[in-house]
Amino acid sequence: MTEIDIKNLKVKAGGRNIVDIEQIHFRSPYTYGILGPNGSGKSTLLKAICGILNNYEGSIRMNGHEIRQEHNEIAKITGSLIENPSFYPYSTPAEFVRYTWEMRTGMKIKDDFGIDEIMDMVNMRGKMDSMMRTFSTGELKRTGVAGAIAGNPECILLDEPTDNVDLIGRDLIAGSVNSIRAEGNKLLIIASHDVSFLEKVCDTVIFLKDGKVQKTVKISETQLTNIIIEDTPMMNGLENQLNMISISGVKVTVSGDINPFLNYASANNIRIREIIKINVLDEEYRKIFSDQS
Amino acid sequence: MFRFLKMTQFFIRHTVRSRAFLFMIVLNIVISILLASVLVLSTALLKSFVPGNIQATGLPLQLQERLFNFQWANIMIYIPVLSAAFFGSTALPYEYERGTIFSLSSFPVDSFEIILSKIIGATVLSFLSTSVIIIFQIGIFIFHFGTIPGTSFIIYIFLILLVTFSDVCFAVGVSAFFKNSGHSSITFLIVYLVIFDIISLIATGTGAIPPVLIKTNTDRVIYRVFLNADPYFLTYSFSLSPLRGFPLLYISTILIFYSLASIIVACSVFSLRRVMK
Repeated sequence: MTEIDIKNLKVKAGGRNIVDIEQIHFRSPYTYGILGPNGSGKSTLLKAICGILNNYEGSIRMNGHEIRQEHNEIAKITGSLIENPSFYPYSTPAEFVRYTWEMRTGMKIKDDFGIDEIMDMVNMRGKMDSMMRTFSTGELKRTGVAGAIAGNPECILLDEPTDNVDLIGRDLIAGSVNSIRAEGNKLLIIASHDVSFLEKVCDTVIFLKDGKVQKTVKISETQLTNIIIEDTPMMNGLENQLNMISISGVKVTVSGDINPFLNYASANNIRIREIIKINVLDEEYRKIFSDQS
Repeated sequence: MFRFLKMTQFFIRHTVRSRAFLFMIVLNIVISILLASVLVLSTALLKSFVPGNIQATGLPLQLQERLFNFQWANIMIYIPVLSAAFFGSTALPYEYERGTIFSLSSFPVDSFEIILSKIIGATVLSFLSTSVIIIFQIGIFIFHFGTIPGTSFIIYIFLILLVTFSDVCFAVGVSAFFKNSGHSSITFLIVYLVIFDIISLIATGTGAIPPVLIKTNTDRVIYRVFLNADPYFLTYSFSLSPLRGFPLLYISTILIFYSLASIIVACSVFSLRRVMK
């Protein structure tokens, strides 16, 4: 299991705290989203975690080792995509992934072992031998994700993986991240201001404002649905069974899976007029960052 | 060691495919063709390098060889500098410009390994592009004089390699202060071609240090003294008086000193900038 413990972390620049975090604990096999607008300290936090920033106060420990002091050891088990690299235009994704893999592990790959699988994971198999100078932003981002997961690192840090990427590209990147999650043994930390993307790929989202943690939200608790029905049946005592968290007149609010409720409604002739998904993260985001727009 | 070789190999492979490398190769081919044209089409130009009283009696073959080498070396003096400006002074800033510095910095490698990989890679690339001129030079020498160059040519190539390495080290040392390739290349050229010349003038005027200790002069001595005709005969005013004994070793030591000093500066500055403060 991989764990990262951050305690009393402060990063200062220009006389102000860019990051000021009392405590965060990350552990595998979960995916954490760091959500905040530009300038909230997300990228700085990731840079500190991957050891390329060391002017901080406090402590960042991975599996008990202080990252600042044992950068090279930590770097062997951490893959990262930081900021917006445009990579090496005269190299191919296959060469880049091979290079990243060998640099991280310190071992030569035989017969391109594992590279095809990574390319499949990021949906870049068809372009793995094309020069990167011809790539779109989305393709470069996916190549960056491929580089971050090359060499099977225990911890993966992705900084704004969907920045400047169109909707289709975002879906492809979300698919890539979910493929990594499906392996079930990685710690992923993704910094982004893309609420819907984080909702698709994270287990927990941490709201960061002015470098400080404002709120931590579990995605499973944010998947709320309002179901509008035609009349008000008696459903007392079924709250847990049907994942209901409230009934207000003809409006039933369900948390998580709505299928138990739909099955119950079908079996009891309860007619459903409308199903409305509630974007809790969106609402939280607006509440926390409304003063920064 | 494996990671160092991997970085060097990746850097070389990537740059060989770049337009900068293609440009240097084309440039060196053009220079070689122009130099060949000078020799083949106009012996008068060759003679213009020597005083008139010697021209009247015709040039002996040995002198022709020396003048041939002088012509090529006189141009060759700029090639490692240009190559270093192209490949050495852009190697590190390129990583900042492309945003790949973060992935490079996140690898388990020391700053020294990164700097050395860039230096070795840029030296190989510079020497590859310079070798275009050397190949032309050998070919034209054989064609014109009907014989292969002597053992001195091996020393010639060794010295060019040494100068190239030293120039690249210096270029990488300068580039460690920059995040922009253009700024880095221009600064390197200004320091090499202008600042060093000013320091040289001051050194000559005050007599504080021998001018040969200034890198630009060291390179010129290599080219104009060890690689071609007699410097006094060609009215090259440089004095070798402090170099009695083992001048070649002395000159090489100066270049190696510059190289080591540049590597130390590059590593120190890059270590500070690699991990952000």
